[in-house]
Amino acid sequence: MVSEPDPLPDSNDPFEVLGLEPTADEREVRRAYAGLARRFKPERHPEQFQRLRRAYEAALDIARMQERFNADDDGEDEELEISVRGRERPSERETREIPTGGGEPAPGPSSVWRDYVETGRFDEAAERLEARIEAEPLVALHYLERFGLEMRRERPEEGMRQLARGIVADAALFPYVFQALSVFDRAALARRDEIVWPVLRSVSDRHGARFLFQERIEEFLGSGDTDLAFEEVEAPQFRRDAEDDPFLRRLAQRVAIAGRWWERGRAEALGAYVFTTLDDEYVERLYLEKGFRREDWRDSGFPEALDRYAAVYDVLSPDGSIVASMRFLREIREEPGGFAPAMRRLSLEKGDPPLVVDMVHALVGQGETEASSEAPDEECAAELRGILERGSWRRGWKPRRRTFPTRWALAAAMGLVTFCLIAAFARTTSHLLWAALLFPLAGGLLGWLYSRVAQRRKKAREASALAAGFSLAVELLGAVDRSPVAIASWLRGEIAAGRAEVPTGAATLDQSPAAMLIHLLEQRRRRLQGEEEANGGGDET
Amino acid sequence: MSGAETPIIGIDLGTTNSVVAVFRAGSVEVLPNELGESLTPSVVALDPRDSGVVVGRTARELVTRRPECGATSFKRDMGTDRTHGLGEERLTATELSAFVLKALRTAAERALGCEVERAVITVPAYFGEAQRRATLRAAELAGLKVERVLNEPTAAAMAYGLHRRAREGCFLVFDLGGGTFDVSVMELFEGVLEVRSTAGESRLGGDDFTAALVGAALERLGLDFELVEWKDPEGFAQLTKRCELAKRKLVDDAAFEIEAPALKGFLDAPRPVRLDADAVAAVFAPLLERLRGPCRQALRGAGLTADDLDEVILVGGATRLAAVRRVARELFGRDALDSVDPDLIVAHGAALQAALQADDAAVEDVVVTDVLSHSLGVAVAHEIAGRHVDGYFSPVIHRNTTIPTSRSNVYAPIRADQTVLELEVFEGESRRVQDNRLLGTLSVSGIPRGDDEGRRVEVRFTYDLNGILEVEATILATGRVFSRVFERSGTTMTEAERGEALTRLARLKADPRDEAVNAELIARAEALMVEVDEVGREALELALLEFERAIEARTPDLIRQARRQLRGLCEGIDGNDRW
Repeated sequence: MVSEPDPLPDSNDPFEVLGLEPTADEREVRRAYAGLARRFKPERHPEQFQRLRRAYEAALDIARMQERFNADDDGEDEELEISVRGRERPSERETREIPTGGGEPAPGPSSVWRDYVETGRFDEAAERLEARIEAEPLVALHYLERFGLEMRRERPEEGMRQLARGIVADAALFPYVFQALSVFDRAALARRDEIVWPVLRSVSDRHGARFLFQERIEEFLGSGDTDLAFEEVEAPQFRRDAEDDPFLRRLAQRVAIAGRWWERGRAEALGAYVFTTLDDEYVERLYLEKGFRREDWRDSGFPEALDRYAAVYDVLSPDGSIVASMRFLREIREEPGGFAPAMRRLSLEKGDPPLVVDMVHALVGQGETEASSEAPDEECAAELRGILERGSWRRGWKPRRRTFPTRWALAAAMGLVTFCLIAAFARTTSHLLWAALLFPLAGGLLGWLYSRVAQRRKKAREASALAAGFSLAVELLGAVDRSPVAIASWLRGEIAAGRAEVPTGAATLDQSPAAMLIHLLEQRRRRLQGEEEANGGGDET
Repeated sequence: MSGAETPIIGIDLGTTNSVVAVFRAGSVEVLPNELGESLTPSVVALDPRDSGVVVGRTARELVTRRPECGATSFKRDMGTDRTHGLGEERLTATELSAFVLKALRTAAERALGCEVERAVITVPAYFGEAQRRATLRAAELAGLKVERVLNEPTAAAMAYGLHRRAREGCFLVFDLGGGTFDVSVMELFEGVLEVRSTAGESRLGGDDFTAALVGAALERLGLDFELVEWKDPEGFAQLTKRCELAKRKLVDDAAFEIEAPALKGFLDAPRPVRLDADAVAAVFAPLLERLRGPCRQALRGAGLTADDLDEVILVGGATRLAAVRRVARELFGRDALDSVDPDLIVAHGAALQAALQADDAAVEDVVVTDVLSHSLGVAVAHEIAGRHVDGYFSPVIHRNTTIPTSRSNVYAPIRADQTVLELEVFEGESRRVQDNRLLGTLSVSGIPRGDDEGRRVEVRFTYDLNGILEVEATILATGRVFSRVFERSGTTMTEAERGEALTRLARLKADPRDEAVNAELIARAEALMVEVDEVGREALELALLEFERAIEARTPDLIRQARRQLRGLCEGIDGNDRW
């Protein structure tokens, strides 16, 4: 009978289990394991042996890593810039081997790594990972992604730098750039200028992958990190590069628009961003990534494809406005009369002028659509007047019902004319009798027909009144600088009607309509927000 | 220990020969059979005169004369439902093995003079679960309690390593038996013998070399292999025997010479057949080629190169072939060690293990650890192009993990309204489950509906030394546990095997969307996946998925890009080869 040995120490520290100092080298680890394995043979003590084995594998890995670290401690201080300007070093790319993990002598199977994470010893894990980054960037990247970056909080920079270097240098890693970037973001936001941006730039330059920038922004917006999106485009690096890069400038514009839509919700912001892109290639790419096939795309055409896209991205606002807007916006480009009529039509159909305005602005800014230069003031002024006459731009405004029963008067008149006509051609009294019978019938029919028409027209009017919003009017009038007088007069009207207040501390109305306008816009926004909160969003449906 | 009074014997149940040995008084003793021989041919026959079952050399002689009376090389069919004709009877490999084991047991009992009930039985390291299960059943049928199923290369390494305990280092066991091929990389340090990795092929051995020679001889005679085998089994068996004997003489690069027996309906009189050295080399070439893969795989699994090996041990009768030795020398860049008797060394190891099991004081401080030879995991679905495509293998315990072990992964149902998870447990290395072997299923029900977090199921695989796999699934949200023990005595294999065959057939239907280039690349990557370790496997998996998604999406640009990437990865892996 063999006496039961004392159990292994109950610890998550592999070295403690083995009864060693954490500084033990490979040889010591092996010896300790061998000694303990004799006590806890797998045949006799399967449970204890498993624990021993785990500790052994973990400790062995740490010890080996330590040795490797000590071995090549020197050098390796070159700056990231060197490989960021990767084109200068093509040889690096050619000689790099795709890592498999098998050819490396030191690191064992990654199960050890997993055990680390289970034991919660992230420091070692991070170190171990760092040791592999340069030799095997793909592997390292994979783990980074898999375990998140908790363990890297402590010392992200050097590892990041190495990984970045690997990614930039290695074409095979290109598809993983995005993963890597998201990892960097989580870990080292503060170091973005130094790490993330150079990677993004050089990878995109090298592979012609401009969409990386877009995807990145979109990911921020999609995950609700609008702030990150803003920070991104506000960052000095970005701004500097954007000065001579129209692509980046456009990107910044889109983010600005998305920001304005942010208060409405994540989906709207993302939608505004995506749809101002209007870039077939890019949208198509997104489709593919989100699982739409080219056939669907081809068969159903762009609008349907967009609908699907929106559904996938969850950007469909309750009334489907963004998607629909997008569809119209695409038509704007081809609309013969320029953007003003198109926008007007769009705003009428959409009932969502601010978005439309934003988007059209963006398009104009990108040179996608020409701003109509033949000053639509005349037309727009009329439009504005109409809006003002109708009373309000506010949401929920309903046009006054017509009190006079026009349709019945009309029906009666029409009936009378019918009667007269029949009477004029009538040769017998029986004909007259027939006419007398037909008269109410015809009148009723006509009345019904008219009421149908009237109803449709009324609906259209209501829609147009609803749609012709404040912002639309302002935009149509050239907003800040084109028709200050019109705005000023309108504002006076608003104030007189008690719908707006004279802003205190602002310049007087006549002196600076623009300042006033800005103030009022702000006021309106706040009021709308308040209303919406009060209604609990109920008026949206 | 209970029952310590009866000795535990070590049995090497081979394809062509079996050996029984015991550890007694501090050393291993091979027990002779009733003919006084150490090797008992693994042949079972039904004597047509008295309808008695004969085993061993007698049976072999009988079978050479009357092939329909007996069965040979049935070890290759372990774990399948293929039956062998024994006169009128039809028996499975398990049943046939049971006869051999019974004969060995009798021999041991006679030699030891006491009853024997317990044994350590060796199996090829590359045996899968079903084959191990079948072996255990055979032992059960033979009235033996199996204390441990030991991998053959491990046994060989024990026998080899433990009697020169001072030596430390890595060595490779190259085990080419009659019907199976195993390669194991071992490390001996501080008195611990650790299997680092193992690889092999369960249907490659000396028999194949013999068959190749038979085929070549018949070709020389202008005869058809299948036709002769069918029309004149006796003559064919005779020819096989002669080829086998002549093969054994092929130790150096001599020509192959036999006298083909008269073949009824084909050959009226015996006729000499001669193959010169070059012709023999050509005959063996494809078989020798198959030896390389597992060697590479085992080295890679251990993270070593041929240069890191201190020694190469040849085990198994077929390693006597000069051609095989040449390949080994070429692969490992050194002459292999062959001082130990390659036929008996495995039985030696089995006896040592038996002593370990019995806590024999003489082997008290010996520790031997073994590894899992096939990855174990479950079938999963991956999202490709917006759809869930099932049939992918997600390993839970990777091969070459030291056993006993317990590992877990977390899985989640695909659909939001799904409350039941059917876990299909597979064994193998292919990334598609259809190419792996189904061990059974475990149903997990009562998964709460709702968000992803609450729907996750932790699946834990626990694999013990005796090869019993326990699968335990825990619904993380509710803590409810489902478990199933995949015992080796289970008999669910028949249906599963049939299912496997059906899947194979289904796979034969050409998939039109696969272009030749893409198909080739996928095949190549999938082939590599079997070779590489789990890190490489994951990298490949990523790249493959990317590629498949691109193909599914049918965007030439994406496909091109993904293809480039995948090819780069494959080349990176292939390029590491030194062979």
